[in-house]
Amino acid sequence: MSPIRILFFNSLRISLLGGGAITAGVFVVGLVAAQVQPNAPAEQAPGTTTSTGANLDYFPRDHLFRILGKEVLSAKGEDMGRIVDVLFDEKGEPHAAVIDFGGFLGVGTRKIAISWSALRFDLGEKKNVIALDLDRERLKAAPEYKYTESDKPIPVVAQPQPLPREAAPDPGR
Amino acid sequence: MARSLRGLDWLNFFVANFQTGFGPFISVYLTGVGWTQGAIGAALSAGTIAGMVSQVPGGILVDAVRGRRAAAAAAIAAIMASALLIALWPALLPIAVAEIVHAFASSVLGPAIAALSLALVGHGALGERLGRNARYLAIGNAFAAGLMGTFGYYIGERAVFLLTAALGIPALAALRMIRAADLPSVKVDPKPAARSKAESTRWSWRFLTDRRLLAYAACASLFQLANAAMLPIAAGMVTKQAGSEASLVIAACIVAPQAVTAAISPWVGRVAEGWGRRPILLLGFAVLPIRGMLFAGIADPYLMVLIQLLDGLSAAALGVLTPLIVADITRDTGAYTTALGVVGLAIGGGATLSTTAAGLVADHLGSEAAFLSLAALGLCATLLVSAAMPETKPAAGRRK
Repeated sequence: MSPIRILFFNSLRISLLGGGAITAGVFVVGLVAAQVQPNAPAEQAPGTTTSTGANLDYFPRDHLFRILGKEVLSAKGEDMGRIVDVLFDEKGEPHAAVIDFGGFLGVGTRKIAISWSALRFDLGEKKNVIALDLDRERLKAAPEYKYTESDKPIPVVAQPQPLPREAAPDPGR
Repeated sequence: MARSLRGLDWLNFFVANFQTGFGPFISVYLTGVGWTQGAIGAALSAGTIAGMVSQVPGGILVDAVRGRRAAAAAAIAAIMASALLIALWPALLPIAVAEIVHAFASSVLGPAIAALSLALVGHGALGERLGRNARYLAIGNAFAAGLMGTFGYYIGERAVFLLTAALGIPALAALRMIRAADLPSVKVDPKPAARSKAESTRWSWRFLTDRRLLAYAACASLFQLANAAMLPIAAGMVTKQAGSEASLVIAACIVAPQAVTAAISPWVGRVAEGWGRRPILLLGFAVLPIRGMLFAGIADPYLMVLIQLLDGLSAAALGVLTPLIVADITRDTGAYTTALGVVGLAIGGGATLSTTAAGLVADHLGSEAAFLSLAALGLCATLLVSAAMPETKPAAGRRK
C-alpha cells in the first residue's frame, strides 16, 4: 500500500508545483498581453508595417486574426461555432472554413465547411470578430464535413446570393 | 454508521462531477485554445487507451490495499491535479499526461467506492446501497452537466476544468465522513465465518473462469456496443433538425435520463434484492432495442428527448446491477474489484467500438441504418442475457 500511496502523493505534489509555476506564467503572459495590446496600435499606427532591421513586420494585434479555435458569430451576434480547419485551393487561397457547429458540452457537434467568402472579418467596435453571413437554418442542415472520406467531393455551404444586402463584404481591407 | 452512509451519498454525488468535464467537452476546450483536430484526437485516444488498460490494474490495486479510503482519496487528488493541469497548461504533453492520470485514477476510484459500499453494508444490503449510489451519481451527473454547461457558456471553457478541480474538495470532505470504525478490518466479506479459505491465502485468478462472470462481461460489453453511440448520433440529428434551441434540446437529452435514473435506482436495488437480478437485468437490456428502433423511426427533436428517458431505465439497471452481480459472483474470493475491472474493460471496449462502428455506418448508410444496427445489437445483447446469464442472487441458505 504505502509505496503506491507515496507514488501517488509524489506525482500529485509534482503536478501541483508545476501547476503553480504555470499559473504564475499564465498570469505574467496575460499581463504583458494586456499592456501591449492597447499600446501597440498607438505606437505603430503611422506605419502599419514598421520594419525592424531583421525583416520583421509588426502589425497591430487587432489587424490579424487567429483562425484555429476562433469563434464565428452570426450577424445577430449568436455563437455559431468555432473554426477548426481552413481549406485552401491550388492557388493557395483560402476557399472554405470548417466550423464545429452546435452541441452541448461537446455532444452533438457537426463539422460544416462554409465558403470563405461568407466570412466577414470585422474590425468594428467589437474587435477581432469573425462574422458569418449565413443564417443558422441554412447552416444546420448542411451535409457534414468529413476529412476522412477521400473519394467524395467536399460539400461547401455558399452564400445564398453573391452580394445580398451587405454591400461591402470585407470592411476591413 | 448513518454519517458514513451519508458520506457515501455525497461522495457519489461529487465524483459524478468529475466525469462530465473530462468527456467530449475536452475537445471543445482544446479546439478553443487552437489545437488541431488531429492533436485533439491523439490526446483523447491516449485517454481512451489508458482508460481501458487501467481497468484491471485499478481493480487489482483496490483489492490489494487495505486502505480503500486512502486509495479513493489519492484517486480524487490525482483527478483534481489532472483537471488543473488541463486548465493551466493546454499543451500536448501535459494534456496527454492529464488524460492518462485521470483514466488511471478513475479506474481506482470507481472500484474503491464499490468496495467501500460493500464494506459498509455487507452483501445482504448491497443492492439497496448500490441503488442509492446510482441515485446520487445520477443527480451529480445532471447537476454537473447543468453547472458546467453554464460555466462553459458564460465564463469560458477553462473555468469548467477549474470547477472540476474545485469539486474535488467537497468529494474529499465526503470521503472523510466515512469513518474507519464503520469499515470492517477484514477484507470484503463482513462474515468471517462464511469464509472457507483463509483470508491470508492470496486470491487467485480462478474467479476468471467463473462462467457467470464471463457471461456478464459479454452481455455488458454487447450492451455498450449497442448503447454508447446512440446519444452522440441522436444529438447530431438534433443539431441538424432543431433550431437555435438545439443545444438546450441536447442538454435535455443528457439530463432527462439522469432524472429517471435518480428516481428509480433505489427501487431497482430493492427489486434486485427481492425478485432477483435477472428480471431487472432483462428489463434494462430489453429497453435498448426499443430505444434504437424509436430513434430510427422518429426524427422530431422533442420526441427524441422522451425516447432518451428510456436510457435512464437502462442506466439505472446496469448501474446498480453491474457492481451487485459482480459482488454476488466474487463473494468470498477477495477479488471483487479485480472482477469489476475485468467487467469494466469489457464495457469500455464495447463503448469504444460502438462510437467508431456506428459512426461509420451513419456516414455511409445514414443515421437510421445506424440506429437499426444498434437496435439489432441491443436485441442480441438481450437474448444473450436471457440465454447465458443465470440468476446470481444467492438462494437463502445457499453459500457462494
